[in-house]
Amino acid sequence: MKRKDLLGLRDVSRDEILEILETASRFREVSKRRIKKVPTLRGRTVVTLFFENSTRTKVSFDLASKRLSADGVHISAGTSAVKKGETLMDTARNIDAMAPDLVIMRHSCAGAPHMLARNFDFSVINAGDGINEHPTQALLDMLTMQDHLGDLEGKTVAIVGDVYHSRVARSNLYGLRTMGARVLLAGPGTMCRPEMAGPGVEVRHKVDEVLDEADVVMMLRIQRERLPKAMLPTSREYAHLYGLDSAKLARASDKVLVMHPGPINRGVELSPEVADGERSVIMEQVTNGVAVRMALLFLLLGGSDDASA
Amino acid sequence: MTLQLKGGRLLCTATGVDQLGDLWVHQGRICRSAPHGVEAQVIDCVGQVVTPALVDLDARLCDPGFTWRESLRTGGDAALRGGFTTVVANPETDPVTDDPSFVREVIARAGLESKVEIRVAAALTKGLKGQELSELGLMAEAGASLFSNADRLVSDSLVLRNALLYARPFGLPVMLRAGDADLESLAVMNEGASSALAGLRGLPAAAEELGIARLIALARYTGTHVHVLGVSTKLALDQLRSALASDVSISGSTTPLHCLLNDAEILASGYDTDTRLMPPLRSEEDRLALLEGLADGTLLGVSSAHAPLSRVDKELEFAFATPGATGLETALSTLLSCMPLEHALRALSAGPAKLLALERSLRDGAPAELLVLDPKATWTVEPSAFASKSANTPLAGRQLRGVLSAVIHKGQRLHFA
Repeated sequence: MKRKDLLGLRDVSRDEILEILETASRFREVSKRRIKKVPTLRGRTVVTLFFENSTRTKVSFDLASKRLSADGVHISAGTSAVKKGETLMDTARNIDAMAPDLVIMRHSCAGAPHMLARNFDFSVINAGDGINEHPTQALLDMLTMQDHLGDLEGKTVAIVGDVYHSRVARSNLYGLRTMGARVLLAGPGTMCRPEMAGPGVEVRHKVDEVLDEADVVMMLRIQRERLPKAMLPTSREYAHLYGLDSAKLARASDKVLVMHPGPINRGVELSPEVADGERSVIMEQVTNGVAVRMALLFLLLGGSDDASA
Repeated sequence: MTLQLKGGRLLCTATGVDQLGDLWVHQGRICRSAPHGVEAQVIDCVGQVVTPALVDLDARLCDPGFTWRESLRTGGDAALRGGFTTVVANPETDPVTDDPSFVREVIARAGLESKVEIRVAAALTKGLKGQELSELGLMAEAGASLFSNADRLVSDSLVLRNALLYARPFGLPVMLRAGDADLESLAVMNEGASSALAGLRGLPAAAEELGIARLIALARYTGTHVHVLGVSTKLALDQLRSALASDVSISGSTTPLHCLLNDAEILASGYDTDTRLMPPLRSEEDRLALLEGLADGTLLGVSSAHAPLSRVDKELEFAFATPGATGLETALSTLLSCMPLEHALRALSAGPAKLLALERSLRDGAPAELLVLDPKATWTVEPSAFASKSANTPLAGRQLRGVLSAVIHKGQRLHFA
């Protein structure tokens, strides 16, 4: 792969996505060994710079870099100089002075990883910037879909929930569009806006309006604690109109995949029996996350050709 | 010193003059024929345009208080480079220009430190907070040229109504921005396809439309002249057009960058914070409507919206960066790069001069405030070479049209800093 950074899927080509997914497939095997480690990135330094809380994304990246033998350092905004008033650029200059090879960054502002990528020589992976993109999540989602559906060309993926303010949705939208899939969006009027429609992307409203056509239903997390004011009346109404339960799921194909980026609000966007039911591939998404992140570290840092040796 | 501007294209949008010829500057006034018995210094203007100098309604000169961004001296130098010989300083200083003594101080110091004329817009409300009235009468006596609430909204309609009623007897226009504080609270760029694509929270055009509807209603009701700064959307412009048709005492201006750029610039620049403005860069449809509004006279003109900011303000995440861009040095060339010469000159000279009741024309006897300009020559914007202390502009590296060869202020040829 030629690129220095992975900031989003907006401008990533089909060939690049296929290369990442193919490499990730090969790396999956490493995580199944008793000794889950290969020397591929020995001596390379990977920094995770997180300005927002994260559990699964952070653990997933940490494991990915450890399993490739890279040296990892984690900086979270709560413990760094940021709390003392240091700007992002100053923090980055200091990190840069210690010669990292790659920085994995999560930030509440769209464009923050782009600023680092533009100004420094180290590689940058966007682990979520504001409501803009979360490309590694979309890649692990696409790997999971591909495992079950094969080529994504012509497949229909419904994304339901706070689409407008979701970086997961945005990255999936761009990635799926590039792969030739058809995307149906649904959600409340404050969260799913007509301007997101475009070639291959249709905007609907209720969850019922997307189920019969979908090969995949991706339910987004409602972050009630982080919603700006007057976005949603109640969880009860949300669950009724936009949540997925087994009765609604019966409308869908019996092969439909139910996905969720986690953590799940059981009883809001997903009923417990659907979240843990047989159509759910949510835990496979998590497993694939490590493989996708190993693949990206490997491809961006140009590790040895024999990926899983 | 008497000057002879020789062989240029004399172009005056105020009087409609457009002809080849000579023009003299004598004792601070324009003479259309050679004054008797004096030796004139000749400025060769062949192939160039001779036209009234520019007037700016809204430049943040940051002095006193924010002099690491700009000062009266550097702001004046930047204005001169851009062809402005009269600039109205925005009241957003520290302390805010909301007291007669501050108005006097800025005027007095500007007379000593700036090469061009700096006038003062006095803060409409105390501290620009939109809650209490400033001493508008005393500030008018102290020499304020306008009242302005800078780019801060006066959200309380009762305060705004009273401020307009109170300002009316002093005869000075009130400059305000049209917006809606609630809709603006989370927004960092124009809302629409571009914000959906960039993943940034959007400010809908509707915020400006609500704001301008309110300003129109209150201008109609109070009879005070309201000048709307930073008109940026098509529908706000339509509202302004119909208000003007029903004789409301109102006028509006936009900014140079809104005439040249649209909201696709933010993503195209990789979230460059110099593209973050207030009002934000709008859609291409809005941009084209603004050009039409300038062509048909709905907009009185263009103000530089000069907002010098330092790295401390801009070298931040997009959402945390302070909105604004410098404008004085690039305003004329920005307009010349996207509209006909006559429209650009009217927008930056005759229009703003009218609001300030100044004469900017080539009439015999008019004040000698003049530019000699090659409107077709090009130059490349290099912020590090600005006279301004600040370099924040989304135009860096861009090739623009229009190069000045002389600026004449109070009958004297000024030399660029």
